[in-house]
Amino acid sequence: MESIIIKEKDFEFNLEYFVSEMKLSKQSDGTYLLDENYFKKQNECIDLLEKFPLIELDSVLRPDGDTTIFTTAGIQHFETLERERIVLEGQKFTIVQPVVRSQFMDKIKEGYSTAFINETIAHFGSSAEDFINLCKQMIFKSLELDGVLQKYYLTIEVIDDRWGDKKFTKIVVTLYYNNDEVSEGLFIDKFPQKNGQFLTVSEICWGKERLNWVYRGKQDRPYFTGFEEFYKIENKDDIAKVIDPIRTATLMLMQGVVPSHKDPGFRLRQLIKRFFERNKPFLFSEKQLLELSYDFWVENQVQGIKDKEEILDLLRKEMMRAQNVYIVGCIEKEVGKKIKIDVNLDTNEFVKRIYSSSSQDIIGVIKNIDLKKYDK
Amino acid sequence: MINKLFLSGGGDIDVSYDFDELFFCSLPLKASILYIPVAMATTMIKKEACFDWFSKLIFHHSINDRNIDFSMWNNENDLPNLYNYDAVYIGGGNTYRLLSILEKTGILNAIKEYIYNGGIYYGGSAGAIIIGRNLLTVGEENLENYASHIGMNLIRDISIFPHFSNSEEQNDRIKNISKINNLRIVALPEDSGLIIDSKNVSIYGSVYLYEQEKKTFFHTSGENIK
Repeated sequence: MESIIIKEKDFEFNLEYFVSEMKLSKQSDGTYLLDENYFKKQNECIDLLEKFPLIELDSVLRPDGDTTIFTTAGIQHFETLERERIVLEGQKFTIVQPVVRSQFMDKIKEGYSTAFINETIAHFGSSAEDFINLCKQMIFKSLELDGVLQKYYLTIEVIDDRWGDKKFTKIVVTLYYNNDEVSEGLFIDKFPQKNGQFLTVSEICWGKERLNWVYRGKQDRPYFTGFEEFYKIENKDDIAKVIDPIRTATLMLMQGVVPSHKDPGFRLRQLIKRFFERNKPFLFSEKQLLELSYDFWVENQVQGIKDKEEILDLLRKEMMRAQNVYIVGCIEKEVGKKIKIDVNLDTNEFVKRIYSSSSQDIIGVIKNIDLKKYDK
Repeated sequence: MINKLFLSGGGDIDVSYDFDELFFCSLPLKASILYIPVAMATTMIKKEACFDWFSKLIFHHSINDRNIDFSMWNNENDLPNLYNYDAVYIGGGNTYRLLSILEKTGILNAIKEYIYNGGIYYGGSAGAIIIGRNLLTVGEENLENYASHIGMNLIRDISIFPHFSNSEEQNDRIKNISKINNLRIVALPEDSGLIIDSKNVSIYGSVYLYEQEKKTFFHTSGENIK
């Protein structure tokens, strides 16, 4: 039997067994196709697979000491379990978790977002058979949306990873539909626990918005549902760049995050700045976008500790600040002078103070900026 | 013409704070930095942890009226326009992986051009080594057996050895690398660094220069390496 042996690690994964049990066939390009005879009978098979209980979601904002500031994946629930001293071995759960991935902040285009609903099914202390069954479940879920097997293929990779101080090697099985990545399964044979013991982990996951978007055929319906009225066919990417930061900022504001220099507030500040700058050509109503975002997150079980009005006030105050920072930047860039002024002032006072103490060239720069009032 | 390059010995935010502050002081009040963590950020969670780390660094230096923002480029298809940024910051990790990705994507040439056109650059650990002449100071990181060890060579044929603790083992190792490969090597402790402009290679903190068997100790900030 073929095994992948990772250099200098005692990690073994029986690839041939996995491929055989999954009814996959390897192609010359290294990808794997699904067996038609087997997967055509998905309706008969899916009922045989074990369903894991749906658990309460974690906070989007993680406590100090966790790997990241915001929850990045449903599997991160293991940190909650370890914090609460719950034995990981034998844990099986389904979690539908809003997550934040700041790494996409400046890479947004249609089909991507910095915040999304990550659906994860995880099994700690699982066997290779358990992982195979989860991967089948992952495939069946997609086949329910479109059963044309020729549209699918899988890749299998071995990757070294690290969560905080936990180092491990994992097998990643990725499912593609029409060349778009739709879901992922992973198996870790030696996941280091806090207590020093190792255990196996199996997981399958997908982004709810992306899965919906891919199967809607992409061309007609935008990635961000609920925001259809803002889209035009010719500028989907530009619109996505505007909607994404306010949608993620709303999620953070709902969790009680307040803009500041220090994370998590700094992340929120970055998002609102991007919304302010990217929305300049469109001038979409921040109130309307915030309300749509708020409703989306509430529909997806996010429990906010702040209501819409409070959040809108915070958003507008920060947008006012973003505008002031923008003015400071314009002056520095165009006149070459650094002006020291409190950017937290309201727009009127901010501009008044600059006017009273600045030269004509600086005043000229401000007059060329289309200032917006956010104090109401 | 080179404006300013900041090369640090690496280490925690607190350890290199004073040297890093010199970098942040050189930026406009409203500054935007391009952060490139490709030497380290290989998976989703590592990328996110790098993003968190850089936010933390910025928080520590967000004093007075500074409004600093950053974008992260991590080996994506779209190459960023470096001239949209006030500085480029390349962090630590595997030096060979870093240089290989920068070369393959074509961003290495863009960075060189950016530096020669006066762009400000900060390199921590691996990000500092690639500015030097040779990567053999960290030859043990060459896990993929890359044939080339050549760095950008922007500091008068000097090569960089970061995270230097002045231990006997490190001393012997650097002398050996210097002798075998005929390299001038600057060893940078984590709280030290080099500041390079068009005229000088000046030191910050304590810095050690190895030339074959000879070891010179520089300990006065502002002193220049000839």
